[in-house]
Amino acid sequence: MNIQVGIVEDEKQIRESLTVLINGSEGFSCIHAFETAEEAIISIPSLHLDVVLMDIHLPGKDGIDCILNLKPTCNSVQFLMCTSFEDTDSVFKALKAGTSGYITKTTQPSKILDAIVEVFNGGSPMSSNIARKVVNSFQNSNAENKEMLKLSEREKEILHLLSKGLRYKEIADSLFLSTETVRTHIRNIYEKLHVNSRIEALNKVFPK
Amino acid sequence: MQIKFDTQKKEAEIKFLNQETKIRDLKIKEQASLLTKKNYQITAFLVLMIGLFVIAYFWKKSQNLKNILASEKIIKETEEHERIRIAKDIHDDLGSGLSKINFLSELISQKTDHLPEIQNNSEAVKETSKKMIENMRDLIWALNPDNTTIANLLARIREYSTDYLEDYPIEIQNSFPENPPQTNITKESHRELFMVVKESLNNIVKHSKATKVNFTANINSKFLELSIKDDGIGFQTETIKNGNGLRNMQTRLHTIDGVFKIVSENSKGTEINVSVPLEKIIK
Repeated sequence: MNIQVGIVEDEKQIRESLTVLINGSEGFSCIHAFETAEEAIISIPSLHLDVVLMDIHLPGKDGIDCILNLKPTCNSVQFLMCTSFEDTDSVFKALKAGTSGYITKTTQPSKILDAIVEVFNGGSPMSSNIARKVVNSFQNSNAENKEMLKLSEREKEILHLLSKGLRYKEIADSLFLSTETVRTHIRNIYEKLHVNSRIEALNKVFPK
Repeated sequence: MQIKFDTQKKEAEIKFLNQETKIRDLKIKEQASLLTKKNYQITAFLVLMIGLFVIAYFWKKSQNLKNILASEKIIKETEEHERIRIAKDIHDDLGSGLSKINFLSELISQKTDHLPEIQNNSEAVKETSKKMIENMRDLIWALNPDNTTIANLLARIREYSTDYLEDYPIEIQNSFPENPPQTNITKESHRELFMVVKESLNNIVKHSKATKVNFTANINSKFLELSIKDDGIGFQTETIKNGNGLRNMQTRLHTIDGVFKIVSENSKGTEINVSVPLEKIIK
């Protein structure tokens, strides 16, 4: 079965090259590529996509807005953010909006495919910078949210090691877990982060 | 009789006059005392006013000083903010252009297997644009004061090294301090140290044929020390000592009063030792 990939990217050449790359690789197929977030928001909910490659900088609504709009109706779609750099602030915003991963545009094409497979299989990358931001975000969120979705001791432990620069394998070794388990924990952390930020957003719109 | 009466009358008059004078004197005295009282009041009032004035003056002065300090702080913060903003703008603009160049040159490389000359050139374009992007990213990173602490530098070095070597058949063993301090260091030292690590790892991948790397970081009361040791083919240090890469590393460390030492021998691996005095890098 092919992984159905969608693309939202305003640069024509990159959009077309990505489409060619994905269609030319076994196990992948890409028949939907959008130039703007507005087009994607209209079309994506009715398409059965597995993974959407989303550019952060788009004319009009940006990639983060696009995900915020799509996430509630497209729960089965995994979003993979494409940025020029690993700009921690925007990557973190994208993660809060519901992205499962991010790649930089300097990523080699073969690695782009790897990243697609990874998020498709439920993996989520996290760097030390992002880990620090996640920790802060949970510390700063209000008490009510903490009660609803707080981090488990294991998750805190993993975040702590990540923030010190340890990678998944090292963390797995030092906590006597499998790399797969570490991945699952990180995915759960992202999920909590996402739900928390949604609750926070709702609380802002409908204050008690 | 008449005379006696006259005298009596005169005496009475004199007495009356005397009394009048006395009354006048008393009145004058009373007025004088009233005047001195008024004078006292005026002086007290003046002293109070001057006092208030002096207090107001000094209060205003201290307030001014406070304002100056506050506005200096704001200026500094704005500067910092602006620097990051400009850097980010450049980074967004140049960054997306560079990544496009990088991406497209990769595509050219893929399609030119049969034209090695073109392929070589496009590979070079790709590598150059990739390096530029990385350098720019490092620069932006070091501009953010939140990032430039010893703990964050070590985290970044550790993360980078592991990720970088993951693409090669080289195993890395990290030994880093358990709880490094969150002390702020200068962005120059941050940059130089990170660059030296990058250059060292790049040399290992390019030249050493190593299969194992031991990366140790240490921090004591005076120094931050890094040691990168590989099990590769090594080299005669005399012959390559003046190579560009090594000299670059030396110069970089020199600017932050660091010491760079390289120990290597043919077929016995290479060890790079870096030591930087903390008092030179702490902000």
